[in-house]
Amino acid sequence: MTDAAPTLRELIGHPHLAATPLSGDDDLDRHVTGITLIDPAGTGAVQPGEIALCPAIPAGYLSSWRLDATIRRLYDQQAAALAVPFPDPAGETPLDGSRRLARHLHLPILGVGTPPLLWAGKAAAFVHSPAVDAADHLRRAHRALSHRLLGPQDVARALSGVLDRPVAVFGPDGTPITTTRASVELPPDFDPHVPVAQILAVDGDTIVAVPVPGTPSGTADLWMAAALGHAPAAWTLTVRDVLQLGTLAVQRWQATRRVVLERDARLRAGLFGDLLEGRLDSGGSAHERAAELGWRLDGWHVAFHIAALGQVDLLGHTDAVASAVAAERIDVTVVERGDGWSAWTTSRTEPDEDASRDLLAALRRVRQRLAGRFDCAIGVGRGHPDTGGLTRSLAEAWDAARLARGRPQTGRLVHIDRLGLAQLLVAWASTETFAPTATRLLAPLESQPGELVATLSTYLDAGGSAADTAATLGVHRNTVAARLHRIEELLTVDLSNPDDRLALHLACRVTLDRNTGY
Amino acid sequence: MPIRYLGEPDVDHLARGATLLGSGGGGQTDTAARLLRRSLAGDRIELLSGDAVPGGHVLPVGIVGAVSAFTERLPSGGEWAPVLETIVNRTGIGPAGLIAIEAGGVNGIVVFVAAAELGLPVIDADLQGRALPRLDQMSVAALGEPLTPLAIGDSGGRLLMLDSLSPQAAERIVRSALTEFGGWAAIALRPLPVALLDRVTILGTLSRALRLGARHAAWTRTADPREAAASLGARVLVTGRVIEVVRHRAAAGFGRGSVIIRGGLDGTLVRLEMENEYLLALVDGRPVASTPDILCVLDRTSGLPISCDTVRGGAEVVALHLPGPPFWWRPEAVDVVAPRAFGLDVDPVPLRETS
Repeated sequence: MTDAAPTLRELIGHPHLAATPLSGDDDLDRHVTGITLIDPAGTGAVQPGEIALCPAIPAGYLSSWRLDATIRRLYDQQAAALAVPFPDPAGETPLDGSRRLARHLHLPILGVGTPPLLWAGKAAAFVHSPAVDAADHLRRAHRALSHRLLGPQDVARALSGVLDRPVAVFGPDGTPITTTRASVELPPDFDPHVPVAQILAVDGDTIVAVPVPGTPSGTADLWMAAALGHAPAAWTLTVRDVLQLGTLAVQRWQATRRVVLERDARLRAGLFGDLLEGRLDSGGSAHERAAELGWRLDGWHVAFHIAALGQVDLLGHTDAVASAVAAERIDVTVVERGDGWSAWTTSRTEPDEDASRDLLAALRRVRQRLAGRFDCAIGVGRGHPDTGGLTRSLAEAWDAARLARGRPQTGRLVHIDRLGLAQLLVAWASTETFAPTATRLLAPLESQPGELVATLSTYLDAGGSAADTAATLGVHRNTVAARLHRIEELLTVDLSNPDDRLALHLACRVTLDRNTGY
Repeated sequence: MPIRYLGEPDVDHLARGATLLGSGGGGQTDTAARLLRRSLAGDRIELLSGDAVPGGHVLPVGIVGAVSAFTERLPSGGEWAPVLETIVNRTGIGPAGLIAIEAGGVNGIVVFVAAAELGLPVIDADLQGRALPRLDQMSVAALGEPLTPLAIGDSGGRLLMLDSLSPQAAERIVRSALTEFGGWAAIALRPLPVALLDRVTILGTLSRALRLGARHAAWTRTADPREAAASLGARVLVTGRVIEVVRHRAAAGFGRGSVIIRGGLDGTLVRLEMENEYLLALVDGRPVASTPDILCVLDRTSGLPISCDTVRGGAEVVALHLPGPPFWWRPEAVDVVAPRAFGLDVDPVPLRETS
């Protein structure tokens, strides 16, 4: 026995050793060194620290003076507790006086609801060789987890059955992932940034949290946690081991799922390549495969592209992207493409202004939904009919997403409709002839405080509305007015002059795109 | 020749002492005491010590049955003459005096009522030295002597005479016959030769009752329970509050019960097991006193004894342990009245000096 002897309270916190303290909740913190059987007449030696279990009691025993005499004798022998079968078949309970005596002598009476000899055997095994108990739980956990592939929630359910304690799944940051009410609450001192098993105590109750390691980064993908109540240390370690076995099952599920995803992704990627190359003629075999994947090629299409910013494991997030889009009730096909995901909606008629505005609003919310996982830029193409139109809309969306990367002022969301001509102008203005000129044109603003270039750009993007500019930049309108006044002075231009505005607008676009690398 | 008389002034002391010897049982003595005062009618009764009787035989008398029935239907006079006559006719022996079958409780007083009725002296001795519930717990029965012929009867002429029966059989027959007598009856047992009194009876019990009663009468409200107990030759088991009283109605025999007293000072828990009498005392689960010793529960302020029938939760009490009659500690007798005789599986606990 390497671990400290469990206390009474911990012992009866073990799911197989549940017992009712009949003499109240006090005096349960003494250590238990073993279990001994005694007979109700009460002869026989009990070692200090042992629980004396009376496996069979005669009728009337619980309310008789003999119970008191037994309590006294066990007190004299420094027993840890007296355990009796309870409830009594005749419904008898100890007298209040006997309960008081037990409290007075600090010798708790435990009511054992399971067959007493079974209880004694398990208690003795647990006290003397906790490893046997641990092995038994691990064996049962292994059986519960190995017969088929189980998702995280199913693993939690299976382990809850094995441990007879609630087990729940949590996200990387410790938020519960559950369809029902959370059965386990992570305490405040739980640290999601330390991806190791954590044994936490709240008011004497024990919570064990074990991370499911993420593939590339070493951070936790998920957490599995069990709430144990009062638990012996050895049992807590057993639970930790059982949960870790559970994380293996979850990882197995994740790996298998990933293989399926990869296979689908490769299939989609090939088909998508055909689509972008315009090789998806109706009637061809590729067209058939597209139909099998559920891709809609007829009708009017509006494509958008979600470009992930920074290092992002695309496949690992495809499910999240699909569900974020689905949560906005956008009925689309999502395909991994380059730096992100392309998707398109299809309708029978040409999408109108309202539809396009709704889509933009929804995509803005999609971006917020994904913000917890990664930052992204979204580009939206125009509506075009049929397979060829889809190819075109996808291309527009791709370009728009590239532009959106450099435009935080539009919320990194760009619709190609609003760009049509500007796109051409940007393409022209980015030439070697204009670019240095543009830089020089705005140079007087660079050294000045107050983000004058950004203010000017936003003002021009906003069609000359100082109010919209103030809202976008999050500053007061008077601040915008003051900055515009300073810009006019510094550049000696007149912002009410259309020629000046056009030149400055192009210069801003080139300068800002360069500064952000695009 | 040591002869004393029992008169009206002694009745109070006798009643108090008989109650204490009752160990919580033996019945409420106040009714019997009133009856005795009426029987005395200002006269007095000879109380002879055992060795003051020159020879011949003495007749054990008393009542058997439910004491509650006795209180409801008082003796009307003329109960003992028929049973005396029956025994005299059966044995051909005319008694020289009366002896109480039981000194504890009502029977410690009733013997004088019978003496007044029959015009006989009372011998300072009894067959129990305290109160005990059964006929087979008479000292003579414990020594293997017969109780029969015995007779029970009432003033209405109903009469039952038993002979050549064991004490256990007599107990069963009398117990089952009592309902026909209205719950209780006068009883007379086989006469005892005076020469055997010092061997087969508990001598001096009535004077012990009178002595205890006199000291108990001096119990004052302000007295320290320990000092008051010491004056009675008793030790204090606990001073505290009755926190629980449980009575189990038994299918056969007498009902069993438990009284739990919580000590005021240190929370010590004293459990008294009772039948008709307080039989066993456990202090914090440890048996510390038992039959044949005497256990009493007294009201803490008034000092009045509280019987097993009337003890209630919430009462502030003193529990006392008095030495029982040495007779019952004799090896040949102790089993008859030890806790096991009442179904309590524990050895009898003698009075120890520890307290």
